[in-house]
Amino acid sequence: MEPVKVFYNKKEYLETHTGNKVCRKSLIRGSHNIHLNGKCIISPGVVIRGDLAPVKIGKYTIFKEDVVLRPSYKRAKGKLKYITMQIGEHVLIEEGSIVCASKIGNNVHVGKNCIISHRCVLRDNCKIEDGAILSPDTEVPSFTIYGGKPATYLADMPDSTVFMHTELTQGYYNRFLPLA
Amino acid sequence: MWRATSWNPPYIHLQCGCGKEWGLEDMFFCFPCSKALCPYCVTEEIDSFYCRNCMENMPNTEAFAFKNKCARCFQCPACFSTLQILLNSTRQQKLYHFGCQSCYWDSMSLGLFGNSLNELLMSNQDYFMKDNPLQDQLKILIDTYKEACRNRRKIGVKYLQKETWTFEDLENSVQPKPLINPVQRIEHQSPGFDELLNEDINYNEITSMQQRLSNAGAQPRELNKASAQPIPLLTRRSKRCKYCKKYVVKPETNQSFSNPFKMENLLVYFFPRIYIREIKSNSLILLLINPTAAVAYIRLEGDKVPPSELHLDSYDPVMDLVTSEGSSLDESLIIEREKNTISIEVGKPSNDIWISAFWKFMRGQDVKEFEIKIHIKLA
Repeated sequence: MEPVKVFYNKKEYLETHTGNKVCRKSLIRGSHNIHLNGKCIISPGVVIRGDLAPVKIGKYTIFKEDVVLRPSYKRAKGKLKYITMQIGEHVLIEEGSIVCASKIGNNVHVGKNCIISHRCVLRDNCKIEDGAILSPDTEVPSFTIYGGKPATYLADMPDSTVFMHTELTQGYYNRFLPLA
Repeated sequence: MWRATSWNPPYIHLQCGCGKEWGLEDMFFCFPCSKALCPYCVTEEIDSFYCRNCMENMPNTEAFAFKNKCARCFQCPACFSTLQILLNSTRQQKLYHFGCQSCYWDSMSLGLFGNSLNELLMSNQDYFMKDNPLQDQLKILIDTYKEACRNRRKIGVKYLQKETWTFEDLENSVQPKPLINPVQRIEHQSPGFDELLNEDINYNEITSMQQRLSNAGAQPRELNKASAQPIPLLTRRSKRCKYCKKYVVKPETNQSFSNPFKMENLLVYFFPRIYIREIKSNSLILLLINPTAAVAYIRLEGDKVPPSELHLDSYDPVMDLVTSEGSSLDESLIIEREKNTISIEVGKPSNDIWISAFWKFMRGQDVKEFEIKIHIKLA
């Protein structure tokens, strides 16, 4: 079926000149530490903890409802140290996921209700299935699907992932329209 | 094989020349043959091996030597997540051992630890050898067959060189030679029902089928006897057309490049995306989107589909530029035309609709044309 249009209330969203759409009902801490590169959608209930460490988010990145972004920590010389969280372009994170990864590449799809633990690295063009729990320090290579509790390698993604995922996120952004 | 497209109706699939149905996302396009290919119509070649944990590339010979497994990374025998090497240091000594961050499985109880990393890896290897009761028996079998093979070659040469054959020679050559002692059958009484009921088993400690098969050598019954397993390697593959043997997909060997492919002839780049916009009682409205950079043409044929040749304009989203060619001959069929998309109405004879599409598009200066069957399943 044709992808449906999503309408939002214009009063509930803030729009920046680079095209970011940020919901006023989201919880953003340490906004000076959060860099949105443009055309991102931040839905209601999203929590971004920029007060812990810088969070860098690429273009066309979509966070659906109740997503939590928390930078991960490292233990160095007996102290906890929070490290920068980098999220690439065309990343789609579905409802209710908790993301503590240190690095997320381009064209990554994270399913619903996932938990991505501390210091995980998600490479380009990978997919995490709904309800997966990635144990700490897991590395997800590109063009793979991880799923299960704890998440393990399941299968390979098709070669068209780059095109399909870019189309998915760009399409979602273009269909995300204000109510007239 | 994992498929990108869903099989829950309503869906639109394409039929490959071999008769199998696939989604647009899974298919390839061969330019010399002008053919759409499904994953079964391409041959795969392994370009390189890599470990999914340490991401290290391995040449073919090394991968073969390590039995397609990584030499440094291990997976948990209980939950299959990657094991970490932990350091348990006291004042007297340092002990390295494996530990799982997910299920807290630990190799200390098995006696797998070492004063250095190398010692730990060696002790794990020794454990594999020790733990496999069939190893010795298998080794005898392999040695015997090798010996028999060698002897047969010798015997053949010996008898061929003989000029005269006696009856004794024939008897000698035919007579089987006992080389191996047959395995003695152990009389084993299977436990009775009462015995099974009264047996004290902790069912949480019994291995599942998956856990047992991952420990293929030992196949332990209890989980506390399973040991850390090396992680199997993943592969980067290039794909060739089955018919003309030309490359269809070639991955980039240098991983630092942003584009993961040297060459990718995927059907999504050259064939229009088709969506169902609306399902009416006796017709349905389809949406066609042209992905190519030039004006393309489509001719549809099928039951209750008006014969028509339509053109699709191209659209460049970066420049926001539409390349148009006015109106088609059968422009009346088109309900709506917007940028590079058109919507058309086709008849609905049943819930299974087959339409032949003739697609003509430009690639540089070349004009390419091919035919493909579209299967629309509504319920």
